[in-house]
Amino acid sequence: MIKDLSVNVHHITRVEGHGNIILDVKKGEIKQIQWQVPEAPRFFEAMLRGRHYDELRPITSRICGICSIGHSLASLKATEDALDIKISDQSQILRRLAINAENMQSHILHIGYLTTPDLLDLGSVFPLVGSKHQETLLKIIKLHRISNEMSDLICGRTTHPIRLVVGGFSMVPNKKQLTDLRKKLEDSINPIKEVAEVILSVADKIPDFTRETEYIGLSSDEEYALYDGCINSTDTGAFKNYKDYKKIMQEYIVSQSTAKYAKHVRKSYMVGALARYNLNSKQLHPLAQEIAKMFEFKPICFNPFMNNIAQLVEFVHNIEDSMIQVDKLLKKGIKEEKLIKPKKDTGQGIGIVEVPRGILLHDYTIKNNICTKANCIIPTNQNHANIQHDMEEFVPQILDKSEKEIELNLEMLVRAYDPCISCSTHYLKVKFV
Amino acid sequence: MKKIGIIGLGNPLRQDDGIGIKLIEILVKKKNRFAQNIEFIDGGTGGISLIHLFAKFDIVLLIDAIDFNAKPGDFKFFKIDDKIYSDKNINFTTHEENILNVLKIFEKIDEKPELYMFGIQPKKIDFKNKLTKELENKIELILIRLEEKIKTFL
Repeated sequence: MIKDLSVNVHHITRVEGHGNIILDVKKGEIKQIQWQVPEAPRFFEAMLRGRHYDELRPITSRICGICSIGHSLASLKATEDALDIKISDQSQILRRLAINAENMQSHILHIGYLTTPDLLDLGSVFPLVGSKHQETLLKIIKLHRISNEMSDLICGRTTHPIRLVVGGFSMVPNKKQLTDLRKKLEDSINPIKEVAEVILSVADKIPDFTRETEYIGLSSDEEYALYDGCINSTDTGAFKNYKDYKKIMQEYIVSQSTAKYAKHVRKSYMVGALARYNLNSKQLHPLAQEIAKMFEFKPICFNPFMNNIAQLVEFVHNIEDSMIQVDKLLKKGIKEEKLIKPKKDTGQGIGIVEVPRGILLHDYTIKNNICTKANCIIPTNQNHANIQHDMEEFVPQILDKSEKEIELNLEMLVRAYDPCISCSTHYLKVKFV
Repeated sequence: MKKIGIIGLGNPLRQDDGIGIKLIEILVKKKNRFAQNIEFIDGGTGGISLIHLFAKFDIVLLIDAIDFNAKPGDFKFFKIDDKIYSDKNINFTTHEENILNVLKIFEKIDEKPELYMFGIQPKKIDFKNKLTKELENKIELILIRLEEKIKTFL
């Protein structure tokens, strides 16, 4: 079809932060497709230099309001790696609960409030109130609340945790609190199954688009890797030495974006729930496997829109896994423990975890207890190039649609990645007239 | 007895955007001087996730940096009600999904508390973990007025 098109979406909605989509088509020929990230660079690494190792975790937890637990854990793991600190088994279990809580919080928010409205042909979550889907919305709110309460209980706050500290936990939940949490997790299984049924009923709205790419994430022999593992790739397999991360996550700069881009063996790669699913789906817990089956979701899946289904599947896995972790704590008996002290005051350490949007890495150099160098590689930056290349391949396939539909499809593509461009600022503009 | 939540919002790594957090940190240190039914919370940049906290309170006061075209350090106290956020003359935007819009959902399910805002005009929102001198110098005055407002809820 020969046509002219000019799509210019400034500040795409229902994503964290600011991103623009530019599409220019003249007489059916695509002149320009661009995914732009115009936000100011943030220089958080510079803020860490000159700080005592105890301060690195609280500072980095403020980088992001959604991944504050993930940043805290990457920071603690890097600090503990640098200073040779081995935390207790109990702390390891509690940290796994913390990472499950964050994944649950973020995934249900994204699936429930931000992407499902697209599948229901609604512009936002608000029309769900008073509609035939109100019951589903109430279930989503309930599930979101349970995830938040779990963060509160394990980390001491819904966001910006305070109990996660170098060497362990400053406070731990008691037996009764864990037993209550166990019950709430169990009670959330039916609601999430029902939410999954609703999403399945509109799953035909998920665009049928595939583009082969590389998926990178953590993998572990022990479990579906979130807290620990080695870097793995669907193209090249696992890297045993995590210190080689710069050879894998090759960051570079492009003119249309203030955020860095990244590549490995291809021109781009993807991180996040879909990458983890593609790498490790066999290790998902049984109910999560069942939900994946409902959607006929099989690895390797090259459809980026299925990232949202991977998030749904992971949410179920996180509930199942949290129950297992709580049972371990209850069986062993939970107790307050002394924090493990550093064995040295100088060293370099790397902390890698999986956060909702993908693999997150902190690399610190500490000299005489003071941080002298820091490098943080965040998931969304690793996905920007993949979004760009998806757009380049997706647009020719949907050119016969109306301008409005093309715009919506491109917005849905970006939203599928759940980008967190800059959730680090909360700034309200008010105009009193 | 009414349950009152005082929630500081913002990012201390973003210069004056951290004013809400700075104020809540000071209030937490002297919480014993306030009635037992008042809880002080550092809400950071939790965004939508914070609304579940609102449900446990009858009254919520948000403390945040707001740009209302005033002098740095000037502050404004107002009730956030239907009139405020549906009034076309008043435009709220955040970098996230609009928290005030989301509150409408909670209103429909009868979980919305009475909501107030104590907003402070920032001078600069940059990538620094320190307030500007203008705001730092006005903290004591802001606190006096803020504490007065909190007492009006009792």
